[in-house]
Amino acid sequence: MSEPRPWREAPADVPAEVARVVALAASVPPTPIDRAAWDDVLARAAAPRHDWRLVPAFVLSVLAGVALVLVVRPTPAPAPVVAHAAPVITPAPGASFSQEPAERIALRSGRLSVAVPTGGAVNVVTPHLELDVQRGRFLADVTESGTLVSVEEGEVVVRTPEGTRVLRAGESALWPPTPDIPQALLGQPAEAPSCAAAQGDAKLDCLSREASRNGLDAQAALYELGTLQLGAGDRRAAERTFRASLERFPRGVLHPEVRLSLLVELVRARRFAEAIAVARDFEAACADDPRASDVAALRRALEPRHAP
Amino acid sequence: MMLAIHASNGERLLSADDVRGLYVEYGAELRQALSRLAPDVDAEDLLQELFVVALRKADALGAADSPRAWLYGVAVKLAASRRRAARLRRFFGLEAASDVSAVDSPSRTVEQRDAQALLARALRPLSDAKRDVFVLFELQGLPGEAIAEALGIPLKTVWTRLFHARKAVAAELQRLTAIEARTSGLARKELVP
Repeated sequence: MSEPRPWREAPADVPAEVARVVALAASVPPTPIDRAAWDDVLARAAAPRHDWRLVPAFVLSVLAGVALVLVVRPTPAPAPVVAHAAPVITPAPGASFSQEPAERIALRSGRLSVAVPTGGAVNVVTPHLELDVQRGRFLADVTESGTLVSVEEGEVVVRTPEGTRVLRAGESALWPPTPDIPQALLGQPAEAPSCAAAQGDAKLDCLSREASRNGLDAQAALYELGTLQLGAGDRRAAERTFRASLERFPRGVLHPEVRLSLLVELVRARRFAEAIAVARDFEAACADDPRASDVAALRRALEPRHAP
Repeated sequence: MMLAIHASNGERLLSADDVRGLYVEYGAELRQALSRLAPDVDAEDLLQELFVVALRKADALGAADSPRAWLYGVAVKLAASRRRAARLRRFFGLEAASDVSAVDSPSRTVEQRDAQALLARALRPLSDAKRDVFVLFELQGLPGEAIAEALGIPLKTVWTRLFHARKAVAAELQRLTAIEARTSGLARKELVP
């Protein structure tokens, strides 16, 4: 079998019109090549090769890797849900406090109600102590004499100069605590002789009348009047009476007893700064009094509480 | 720029200047062949890619019995690859108009141009394998052995494909001219360039 010959050379093998079309098409000469285009060829050859055939393989590898990781890796325990809600603070009118940041509160005076949600935390600093709460609700009340903490829910860690303790729901703490008052400083009841026969309101009228005078009867009347006022629960009146007595009779017969009564009352009222001043006055004015050492001990107990 | 091309065993086979010589000698006809094998693709771009392959596979090119046939073989593969890519782009609606370089001599006649257009339409329904053999044999003038080497197929397969390609092209050309005659009112003899 002989090899076929192109139609353009053997037009007899094919319809003339077909042979002519093919011969004409085949006879078109090509446009000469632009020799300068060779530089473009070299530039393309020098460019980094991107073998796009590797792309599907790469994608498949990545997918297989991801699938393998998803299948093989241990299922992690669900992460605990941690709420980072800010504490809810409800200040009483007149409360003085600042927050910076929201979890750190400086309470200078007044009352704050603080609710700390689960997962939250708050730190409260007062002039007397420091509180740390992880979760709970509590009340902090700061006065000149101290800080009262009342826990309503959860737990509150209370840090004082003397140590740390934990208060739980329903518990309260007051810092600084009221110191024990030595028995020797508690005044003995005294009775003004001029009003000894009077009773009730008549006695108070009698004592007031006698107190406005001078002399020993007046000193005795002022002291008994103050004591009765204290017994009646009228602390302000009693304080005024004792201070009036000391002002009028600073070296009177009963001035040590008046000073001690005023001191005890101020300590019980947690007015420690004033109590310290009264104690110092007593120590100066009654240095020879046998109770001076007890007064000094009480003063020393009061001083660190007053200056945290 | 001199670019030394080395075979994998270190033996120097072809320099870049050698490949450039092939580019100068066969570039024009290869570009025309590429435009016939992949009519919708920029033949100039394909030609550059062809010689990039030649530079990178200089050892195979240097070892080929016929560098021309080797270059045609790469051209056929590149054209087939670009045709597939073009079909894919058309499928996804991504086909964009591209600048197609002029590959035929500007001195061609009107008859030659009309014949090229008619033949291009006749080749369109052919399978890639038949069209490749037909183009290389009838239009590019490659002998059967060179086509077999270029395509990596037996010579007999070349002739078989050529036989079927010729039959299909002849029938298509006759069908096209008959349609043209019916629609234009001219005689078929008048229609044939």
